[in-house]
Amino acid sequence: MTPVRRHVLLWLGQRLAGLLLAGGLAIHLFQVWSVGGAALVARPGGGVGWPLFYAGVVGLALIHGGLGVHGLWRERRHGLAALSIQRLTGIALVLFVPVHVSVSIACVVCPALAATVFQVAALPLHRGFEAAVVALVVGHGLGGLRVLALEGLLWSRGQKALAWIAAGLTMAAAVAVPAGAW
Amino acid sequence: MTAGEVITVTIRRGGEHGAPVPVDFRVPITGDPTVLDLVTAIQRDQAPDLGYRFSCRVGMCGSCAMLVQGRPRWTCRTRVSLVARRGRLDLAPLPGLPVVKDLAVDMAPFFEKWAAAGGGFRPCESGDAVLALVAPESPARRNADAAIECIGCGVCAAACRVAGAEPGYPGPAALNRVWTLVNDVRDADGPRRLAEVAGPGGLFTCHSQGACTACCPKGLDPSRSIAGLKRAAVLAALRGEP
Repeated sequence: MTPVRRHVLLWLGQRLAGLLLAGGLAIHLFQVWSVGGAALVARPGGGVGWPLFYAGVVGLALIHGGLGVHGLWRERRHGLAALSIQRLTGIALVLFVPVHVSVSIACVVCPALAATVFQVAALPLHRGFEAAVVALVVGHGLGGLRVLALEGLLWSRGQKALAWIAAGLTMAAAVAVPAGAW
Repeated sequence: MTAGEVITVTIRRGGEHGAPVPVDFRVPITGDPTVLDLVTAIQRDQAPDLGYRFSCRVGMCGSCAMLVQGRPRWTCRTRVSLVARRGRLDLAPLPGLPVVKDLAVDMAPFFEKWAAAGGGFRPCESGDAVLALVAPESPARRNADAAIECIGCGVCAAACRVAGAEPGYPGPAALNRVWTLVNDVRDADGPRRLAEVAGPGGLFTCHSQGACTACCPKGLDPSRSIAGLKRAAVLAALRGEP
């Protein structure tokens, strides 16, 4: 494989993993909203469906985040030019997701730890943190879908409308959490 | 700004060998001048050694492009009344290019990127001398037509923050030109052109922020052209090319 072809396919892989990840995280957020984090961790039944689903989501996050970080490193000389909102939220998620996944797995394995974690999660301060995380995920996801629309559908004239829609929905998601809708 | 008022124009002056220094000029407004009118008035009345470039003065050549209030524009097509703030106007040379003198930059690196990206047309070799039939309504020709009117003023490259930060990046104008050639059925270098611009540092370096499209004085859409090239390069890679 030529270096150019590898470069192009890695770029495509990052975009496709992001698209699938957006769907997976939408399902995850809906699950958290509908049954709650505690019920998710203590989900009864011995089926393999949900574990496989979350393994897939984590795998996609590894591919998407890994290739994203690789791109950031390659373009580190860009400085401010690379610090778009999409990349800033991506960096924040790359820092958050490993902690979130590790704590979640620990909670599934150890119910005693889960009780402590959900006590902390009930603190008012933690609601603000949840709002920030939801805003990050929704903002990064919608921003990514916007880029996919621009690049895949050649829809660059819709740039501003897409950006405003993404920003508006992100704000709505961020406000919905402390407002108690979550 | 209206006729009779005096505007303060700050011009970043300096040559290739000197650090640029902002210099203020106070200019009386007459009529509804363009930015180029003001620069010309300054050169005629206050600074005969002021370096700047223009040719047609009517938005056809693109040679008078410079930074106006921090945004690249054609000065001949920019009314002072639309861009001046609180009686002030800031002018600077286009960024990312060597300054020849004051507001005039050396455009050679800009056009070298066009050449390096494969911006030259190479016709298909035809033994029977039959002219290519190009249907105007064909998708490829419509794509080419939408991007073909670029006159190489450099405004999009000056607006692009990636082009300013990544020396090897061809920039929106060069990639826009390649997009027209990729869509030209008479061109013999289509697949090779994609390979030349699709590697590391090439068209995938574009962040799709759209500053090129927002600033293009011709109303072209280089951001769409680059997106089209990305899609064409992905399809080529999936086919096993290059």
